[in-house]
Amino acid sequence: MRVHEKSVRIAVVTHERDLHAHAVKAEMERRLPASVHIFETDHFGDGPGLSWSPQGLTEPVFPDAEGTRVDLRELDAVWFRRLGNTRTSANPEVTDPAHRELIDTDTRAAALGMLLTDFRGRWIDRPSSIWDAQNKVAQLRLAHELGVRIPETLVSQSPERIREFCGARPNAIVKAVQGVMQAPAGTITVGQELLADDAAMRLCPAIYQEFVPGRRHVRVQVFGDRVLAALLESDDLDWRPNLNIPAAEHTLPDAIEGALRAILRRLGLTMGVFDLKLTDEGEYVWLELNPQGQWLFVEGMTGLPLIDAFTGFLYGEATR
Amino acid sequence: MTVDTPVRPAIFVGQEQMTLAPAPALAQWERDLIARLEIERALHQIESMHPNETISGSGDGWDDCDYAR
Ligand SMILES: Nc1ncnc2c1ncn2[C@@H]1O[C@H](COP(=O)(O)OP(=O)(O)O)[C@@H](O)[C@H]1O
Ligand SMILES: [Mg+2]
Repeated sequence: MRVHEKSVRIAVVTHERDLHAHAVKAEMERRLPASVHIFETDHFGDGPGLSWSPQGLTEPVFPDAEGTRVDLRELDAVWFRRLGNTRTSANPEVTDPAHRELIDTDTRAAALGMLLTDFRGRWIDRPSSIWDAQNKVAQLRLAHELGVRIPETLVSQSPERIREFCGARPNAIVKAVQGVMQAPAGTITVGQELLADDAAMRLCPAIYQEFVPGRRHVRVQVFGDRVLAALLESDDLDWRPNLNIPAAEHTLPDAIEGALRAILRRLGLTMGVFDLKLTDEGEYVWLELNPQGQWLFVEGMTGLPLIDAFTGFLYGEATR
Repeated sequence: MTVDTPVRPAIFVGQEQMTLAPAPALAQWERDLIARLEIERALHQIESMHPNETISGSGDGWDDCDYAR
């Protein structure tokens, strides 16, 4: 630890067992004059926890995962990765789901409030920008407006409209507008069973899309100026459930890179992880943007130097 | 995890929830990374975790944070 050296101080706001955060901390502290504090926001209650006062009766301090008290006013940058965790292993003695939800919600609200009030450094990225950008309706429209090819899409809970849309598009797919942590759902093909089930369609809107054919799935990491893309080859409709697949570094055409950067700029983001599909005709079809998407597994699958690239990016933001 | 009700939302018609195949090569890469970077906290000794389960990405169920607000 370079405690006395003049160094940048960076914090990662996240939850327990976040390998992304630990990997970046280790790399950063090995390579650069920086200290990285990991805030496991679901474990604040293990130690002294949070205290705050509008009159300044206390210092605005978060305890980091090593038990260090970190004054939010002294941080140069915050990597805002995750806040709270509904599936935490903390507080096993609390079993009432409402009580567990309250612990999560009120910790998140207090922590967010303290950060918004007392942290003055650079955000990677601003919570409000992240949350706005995450909305799939908004991001699909933005991508479309910027001239990026997206699948023909209907977001709907109208059985009539859904039947008409899917009837005209063989192998149409359905996926969640947002989804829930309790039951992560993959993309699936719309079948006759669903099209005959008006009650199911009516419950809430879902995203119905034209099926984009091909087995080439592209995951793109944009960290500031750096764009690092990977090609994942999968015969599954949704590549995520089976990661035992060929994966390699991929170079995107300049026009696609430019479009992805433009999307981030418009959303006020400095980073983002995109899902695209590359058709057999060689056309890129944009699927979604994850403002704080997972990327470490891509290094594990392809060897792309993502920890290195992200560390450089984060340090650059903190010293800007 | 989802309760079997006669009526379920469209995205759950035909699937319970996403089931993840073990990814032993990726899980081994993670264990090597933890050793290489000397990450002291015992991330790899999480009792609830199968050795083939991964914690570095899409395969771990945390996914891309779409659920957060
Ligand atoms: N219209 C589509 N055609 C073909 N495959 C799709 C389509 N939409 C999604 N997929 C597949 O499902 C995966 C997950 O969908 P995505 O749009 O990234 O949403 P999320 O990851 O938030 O569930 C994609 O990476 C892709 O493999
Ligand atoms: Mg995705």
